[in-house]
Amino acid sequence: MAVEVDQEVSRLDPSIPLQIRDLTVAYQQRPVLWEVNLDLPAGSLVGLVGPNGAGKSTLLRAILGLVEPISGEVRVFGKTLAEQRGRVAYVPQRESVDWDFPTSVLDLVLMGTYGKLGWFRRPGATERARAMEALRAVEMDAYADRQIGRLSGGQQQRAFLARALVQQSDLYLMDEPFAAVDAATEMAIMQLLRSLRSQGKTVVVVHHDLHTAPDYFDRVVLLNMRVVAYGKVEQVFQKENLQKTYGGRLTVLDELSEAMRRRGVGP
Amino acid sequence: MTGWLDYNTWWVLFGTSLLGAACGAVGVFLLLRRRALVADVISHATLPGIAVAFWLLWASGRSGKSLPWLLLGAACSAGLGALGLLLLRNRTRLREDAAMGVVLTGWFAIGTVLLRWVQGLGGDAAGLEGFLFGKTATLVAEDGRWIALASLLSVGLVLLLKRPIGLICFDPAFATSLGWSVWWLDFGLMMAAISLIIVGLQAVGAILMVALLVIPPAAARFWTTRLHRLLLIAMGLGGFSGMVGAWISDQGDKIPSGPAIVLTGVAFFLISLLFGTHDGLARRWIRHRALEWMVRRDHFLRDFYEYLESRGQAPTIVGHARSAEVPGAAALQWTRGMANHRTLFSRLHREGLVIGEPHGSLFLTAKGIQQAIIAVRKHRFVEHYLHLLLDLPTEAIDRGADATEHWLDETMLARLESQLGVSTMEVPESLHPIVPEDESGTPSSQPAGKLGGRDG
Amino acid sequence: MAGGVGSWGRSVRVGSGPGLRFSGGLGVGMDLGQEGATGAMACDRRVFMGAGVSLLLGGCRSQESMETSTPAIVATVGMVTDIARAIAGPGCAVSGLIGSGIDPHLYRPTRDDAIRVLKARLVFYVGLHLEGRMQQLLERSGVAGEPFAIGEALPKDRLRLAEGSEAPDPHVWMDLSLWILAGDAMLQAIVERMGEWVEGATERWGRLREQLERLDRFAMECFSTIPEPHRWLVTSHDAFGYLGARYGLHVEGIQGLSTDSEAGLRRIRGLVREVVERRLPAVFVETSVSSDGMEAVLQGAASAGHRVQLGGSLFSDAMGPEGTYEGTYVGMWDHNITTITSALGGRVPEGGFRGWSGDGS
Repeated sequence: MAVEVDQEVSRLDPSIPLQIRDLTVAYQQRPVLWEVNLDLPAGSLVGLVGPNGAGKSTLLRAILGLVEPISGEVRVFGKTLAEQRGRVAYVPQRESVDWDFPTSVLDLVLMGTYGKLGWFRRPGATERARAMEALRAVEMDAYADRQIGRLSGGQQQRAFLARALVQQSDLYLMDEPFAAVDAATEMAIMQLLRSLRSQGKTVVVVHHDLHTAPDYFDRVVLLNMRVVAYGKVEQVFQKENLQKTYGGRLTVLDELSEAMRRRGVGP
Repeated sequence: MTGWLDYNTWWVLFGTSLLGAACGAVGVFLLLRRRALVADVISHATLPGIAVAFWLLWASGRSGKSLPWLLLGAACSAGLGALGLLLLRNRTRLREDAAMGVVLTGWFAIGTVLLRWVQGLGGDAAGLEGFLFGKTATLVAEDGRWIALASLLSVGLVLLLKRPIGLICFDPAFATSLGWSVWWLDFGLMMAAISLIIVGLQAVGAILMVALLVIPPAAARFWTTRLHRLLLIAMGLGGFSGMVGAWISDQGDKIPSGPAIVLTGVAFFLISLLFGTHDGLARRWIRHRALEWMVRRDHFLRDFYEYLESRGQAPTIVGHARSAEVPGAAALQWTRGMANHRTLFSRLHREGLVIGEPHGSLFLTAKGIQQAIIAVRKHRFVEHYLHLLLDLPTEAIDRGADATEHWLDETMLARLESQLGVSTMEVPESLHPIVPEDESGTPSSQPAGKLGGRDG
Repeated sequence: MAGGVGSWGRSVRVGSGPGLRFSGGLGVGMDLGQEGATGAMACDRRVFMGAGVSLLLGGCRSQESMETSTPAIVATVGMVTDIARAIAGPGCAVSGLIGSGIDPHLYRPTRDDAIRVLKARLVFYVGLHLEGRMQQLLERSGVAGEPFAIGEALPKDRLRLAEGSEAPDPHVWMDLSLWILAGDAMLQAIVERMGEWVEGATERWGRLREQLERLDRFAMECFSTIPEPHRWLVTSHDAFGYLGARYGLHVEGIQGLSTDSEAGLRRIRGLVREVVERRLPAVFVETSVSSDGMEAVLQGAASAGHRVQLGGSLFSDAMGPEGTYEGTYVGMWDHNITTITSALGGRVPEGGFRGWSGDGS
């Protein structure tokens, strides 16, 4: 098991956005994630890549406390997640949500302010202003009053991202934000993520497309129920690692090698 | 006895409309949380508690029918039922429907046993099972007070927690990521439903409670897509159903109040389904018909235009009050496939697009010319676009254009114009031959005129 | 499914109370019916679909021995049981299915009831749809015991018709003279069927008959003392039609002939109006029916300025508790007559019927 940890760091380092130690998650007695160890630095775009069923979404959910791990710990900026809720933003999979729900785009984005407002306080003018700003950042301000069911896939994803932006967090966890969106939206999202990185934020993205991973991310976690490799994308995307992650899917790998060669990356 | 609003009428109206409104509000969230039928589960889960409460009262020598204690018993066992439901759903593989089935049947069965046994003990158990049937027509002041209390509590709770509960209905994973306890919010919603149900149960019966919790919220969805408006409309429909239903049951001696209210609610639902401003069937049907007409009109006008064009008499906008003549017989030919020629002609006439006689000659009016040109341009733009983009042979393009041209709106049209390099109002040439249908010879403008567009 | 929820065939003892057996019911709006309680155990079960099969397959053990040497007569409501017991005497085991305080309109037979009916030599029921939910059982009981519908044995012209319907009013025990005819018919059936077991039946019936005739005169006398504007009997359901017709009282019930119907608001308001206009001193509830409707009438009248009283609880479709005076047919009538008369402003002789007729029986 080749685990590349970029820097040797001590535990509970408050400057490290995300530290995961020995995380093991099981689903009904079946282990789906084994002994995950990761340190993710600030100001980086990290891709979680692996085949279907590799546990990518599960890893995100375990970090957020949506599933209970059997063992292991997660530390966000040196503290537990519960203490740092305000600094973490989650963008779930688009299909996990009922888009028929009666709400407008603006109200959806305002949900990002609920964390700081709590159960009882209403979003006020400040919150609405922040929400509109986030909508402008994703170029959806014209759609503020539209019912969310009447948005296209790409627009829905942008609205979700705007909601995350409003949370003004330092760590962003996104589950398949590029799934089934049009090319224009994909580019827009990528731009957004890069600007987040340049602000020193950490963005962790579950990504399904091996081909685009090297373009999008600085670091990559190759995941297949355990961390096969982690580190800077150029170092990690080796044939050996990819083989271990994807098993006998040689055609994929060949295509990938070709793609990487074209971009001047790789062996 | 003062006129129409006497004691009995007042309390029945008050009780049923307040209950209806409260159920509307709570029911919206149950609906959004996909737990609409939990009302049924809870109604049945109250039974063990009622039996036990009655027994305890009787055993301690008191009258078994003391309402507050019976309600307390009902609430406890309903609470346990709701708890069981949540646990089953969260900790096992069972989904909503299966979990509800288990709790409903199990609790009700236990309740039935206990109730039978309790009735055999003596004591004044007559009418205890009527707890589930309610006594809508015989509501009195005490019932009204309980209903007011329960309504206030439950509606207050859900309105206060409108945003959090809305969030767990929409995106529970996100809610958890904010650190919120989905479990407690769910439980809060359940408690609001329970307190309303147990009071409503003995007042108006189980069926009416389930109906009031499900039907007005469902009807409200046809009128709006905003949560706060949904709540208002559901409350209004619920309250109104109560009032109107009670009034209806007052019109005849043999009309039971409970069912009258349910039927009123259903009637409102049907009206909403048909005429609701948001996705009502009537609106959809109207829109569909409008579109159908647009398609037929444009096809006809385009055929008209092309007929004239093929004879070198293409109508233009400038100046002419009307186009050149087209014999009615020819017009009939190209409408042959369509049903209802007469209605088509008469409507075209009515809309001021065409004048003349179907048996004699037909002319396009100035307005008709304008519309015809728009129709032709749309069609040909799409043809050219498809040809450029997809490299389709010209024969195939006509059909494709036919299918898509009617969906073009202003912006798309403008885009096409700029892409194809055509100025406004200019009519491009047709990409396929337009052969005059009634006489041989005189070839039309021939095919394959490429515009000054981009290549590749 | 049946096996899942406890074992449906086993009996469970709860303290010193009646043994209960598991019974199930499903469905919203299911009417629970009521339990059969007689001198014997109170067993209860609801027969439906799969549960019915498993129940029949399971064993039902009861304290009461089903195989007795004395022949059995089974009756439904207490008013019938009482008469049958008096006529048949000690030689037979007479039992009733529908006990005190239980509504026969809604009563559903249990498995025990079924067994008893099938094993009896003679089965009495009122019929005319009084025991509405026992229809099937009673019709099938012709196997061993002969089902005898008392209501059908009465002369048709004596039967009262409900307003606006063809169905006769089944509450025939509410007219003493009519119930005496019923007793005559029952005597005949018992003597025919039970033979030497019921020696002395004719004499026993003779004595009871005389008593009932006296009771009839007592009722006539008491009710006649009620002043004219108050001769209105308002009760929970339309059970007292025969009584009203025989003794000259106007009868109104909130619910109709059967309690299996929901009251309507208009009806309540109409009754309130009447009660207030007549300044009726009292209205009445019944032991076997919910008192909610009457509560609404009471409060409605009070708010309209007329404080009508609750005159008392009458025995309509069921008698009083077993072993008490009111648990007999005569006692039930005594209670009803004295309660109604005194509440509506009439005069009741000291000691009720027993005082008036000079002896205790």
